[in-house]
Amino acid sequence: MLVHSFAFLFLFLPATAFVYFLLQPKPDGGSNLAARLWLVAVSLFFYALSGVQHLPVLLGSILGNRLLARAIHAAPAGSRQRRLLLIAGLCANISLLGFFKYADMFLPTFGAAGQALWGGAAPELLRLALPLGLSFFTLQQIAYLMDVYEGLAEPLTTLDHLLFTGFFAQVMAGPIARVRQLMPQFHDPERWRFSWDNAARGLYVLALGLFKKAVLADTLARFAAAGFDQANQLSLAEAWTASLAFTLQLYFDFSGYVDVVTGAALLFNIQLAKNFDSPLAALSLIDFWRRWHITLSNFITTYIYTPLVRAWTPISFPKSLLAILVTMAIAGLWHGAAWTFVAFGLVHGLGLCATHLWRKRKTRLPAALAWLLTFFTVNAGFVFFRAHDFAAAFRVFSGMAGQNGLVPAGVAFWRVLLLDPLAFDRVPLFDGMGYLDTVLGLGFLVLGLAGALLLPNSGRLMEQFQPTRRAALTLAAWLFASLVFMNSFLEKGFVYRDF
Amino acid sequence: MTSRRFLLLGAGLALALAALLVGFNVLMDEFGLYGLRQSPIRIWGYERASKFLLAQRYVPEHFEGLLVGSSSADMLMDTRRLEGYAVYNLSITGGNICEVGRIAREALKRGHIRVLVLSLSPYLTKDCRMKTNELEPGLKNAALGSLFTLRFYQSKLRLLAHPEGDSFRDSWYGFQYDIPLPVEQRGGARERPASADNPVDPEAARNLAELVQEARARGVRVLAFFHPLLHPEKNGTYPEPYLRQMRSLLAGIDQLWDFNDGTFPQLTGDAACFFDGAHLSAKGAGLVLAEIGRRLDATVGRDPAQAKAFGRQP
Repeated sequence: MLVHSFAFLFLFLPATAFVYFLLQPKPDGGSNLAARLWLVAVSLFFYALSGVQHLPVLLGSILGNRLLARAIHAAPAGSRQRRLLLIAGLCANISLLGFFKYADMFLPTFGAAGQALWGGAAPELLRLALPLGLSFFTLQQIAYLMDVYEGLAEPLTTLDHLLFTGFFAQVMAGPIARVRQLMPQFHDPERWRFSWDNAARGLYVLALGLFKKAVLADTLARFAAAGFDQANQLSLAEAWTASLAFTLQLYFDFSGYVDVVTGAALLFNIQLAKNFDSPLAALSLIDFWRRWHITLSNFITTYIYTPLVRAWTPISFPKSLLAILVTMAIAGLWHGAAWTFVAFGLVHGLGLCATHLWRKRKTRLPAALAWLLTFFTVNAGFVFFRAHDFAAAFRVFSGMAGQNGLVPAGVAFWRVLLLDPLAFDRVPLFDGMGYLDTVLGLGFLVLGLAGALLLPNSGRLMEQFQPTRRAALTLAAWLFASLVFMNSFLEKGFVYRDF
Repeated sequence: MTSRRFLLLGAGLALALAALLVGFNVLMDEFGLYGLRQSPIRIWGYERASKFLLAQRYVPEHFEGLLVGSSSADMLMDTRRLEGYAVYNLSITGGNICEVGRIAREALKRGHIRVLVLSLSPYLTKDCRMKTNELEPGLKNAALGSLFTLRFYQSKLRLLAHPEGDSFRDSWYGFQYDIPLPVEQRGGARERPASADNPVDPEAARNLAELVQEARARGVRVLAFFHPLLHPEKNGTYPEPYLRQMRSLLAGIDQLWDFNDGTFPQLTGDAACFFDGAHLSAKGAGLVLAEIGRRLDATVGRDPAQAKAFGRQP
């Protein structure tokens, strides 16, 4: 079940919240065990709806990490046993992720090497379906084991561990939660009563997320698909339209998803971690990664970059740059099992290194130029992110560089700018979209970019939220537009859900 | 304003707007989905989606037969000319058997259809690719109010304002008057050399077999013909492996005939019967429909009670 489906919004979410608050104990005290049990049950049901065959993977991961956490906690602090248990836990989690996600990426390489050395037949690809949310809950488990190892968190009960990992609002694609941030909220009696204030704020941000996903991202996705998957040759205008459309699609898709689940969790008085902070307005790549997928950035900084730097003591500036490159290549690979994702990571790694080198000069770039450089680098990185292979990526880059002309042959640029339907008919990128969809898409491209740069983001809106008449009208407009668009496209998954 | 009032106002207003939109589309009932339209329904563009929706209720409730094929069976194949039969033309331009088959199955589900006429040409079975994502059950929900309905009304208004571009004008039985080809692509009757390749996609063949099987399981009589070609005796007809495979797939149906077997010289020998190499002119379509009528007479017979449909429409 997708969180932007009618079934989720009109059945699952209200029914789950209603029973959850019904099961909460009376104000005079008691445990909210029944309510948490209910939330675990519906979360597992929610997960099973998206692929019941993968439920054992989720449950196995939870059970295994629960046992490991208890063993680590029981081992004396600083002992070799505690450290070995942690290493075993990390290896088990990474192996699980590697088996499902990367086996088919590396099998041909290792298979060819094996063949060269020992002969025999090439290994067959496993073609395993990736369990939903595996990349996210695996990182969450790793962070949890690290917290237990460092004495920052106590081992959770089985029920709480199920809730921590399987909570429906985040199991699909994060935000990657930290145990200390999330779990105390479920045990806080202050949060056991239904809150109209949180429900209002939650629905407000949920509606904004729906609008971003169903209206903006899904409309822009058509330009991206046409440019990256179908076109053989792209003019400069088409290539930039396609690449910018994907950059905005990805942002609205993922931040929209985060807004929806943040809003959904708020209905239960649960505040999820912040994941976005207007990243496309960033003035440097360092700034960008503080604003884009914040929970992942924090994870890779804490658990990949920092240990790498520590391992290479005495640390030097070149070594720290190398650590950045390695970290970003791994971060890229986390997104998907393809070398194009490694290239995406390396574009950011090189950009981050260049930013650090520039900072050493202590010369500030003008803000507009800094933004432009950052945005172009981010946009270029996303070309690798979206392209199915390097050939497709370079086809888009070639168009962006103007190798195939400013506009397709026989099309007057000014006529496209004037939204002339006859000119649209001659642009291959718009082929088969129809006039209305093309105009909507182009409008969303311009307005979406302006909005992503200039308007307050959902985190800010949530902080400043006041239940006014104007806010209610805005909510109604977002919801109505989202419902119409949700009913227009066949259900599509979130981009990050596939990771 | 309290949070409670905010929620009621915001969510209530959104739901009220949605209800208004749904109400409007139900009242308009442009695809006969809700049985509210007493008058005949014509197509206003978006042929695939429109025919998929019409096939849900309107076609099976008002017609007794279906003509199914790709553009060669769509263009000018005005089934009103099948005197005494109410046959709806569910063919779609650019459609393959997987697409038209899906639409036809929707119509067959209702159980009022008693005859299925298949127009066979290699185009119909050369692939199984869905060219749009519209032919899904979700389209029925989209007809309640969505971008699809917005596009539909835009198309309708455009055609009302510019009727000269309306290829579905007067098209109560689903056919197209003309394929809106760019002028430079139009030509007279072109003669096409026959190809020796068998263009049948296995998935398409499976779909065709399933459609026929389903129709027969429902007691529907099935007729099929190989679409006519210009001068087949000179240029050759469809590839022999294709003809063999089709005959094998359709073995046991009520009627299967080939317009290119030399018994229809008035059709295949006359360039005036063709619009281009693949599509029939009005004259050619008339001859094909006349033959279909004869075959229907021999197979199912006229049933005035069944054939009432909408009769001849203005």
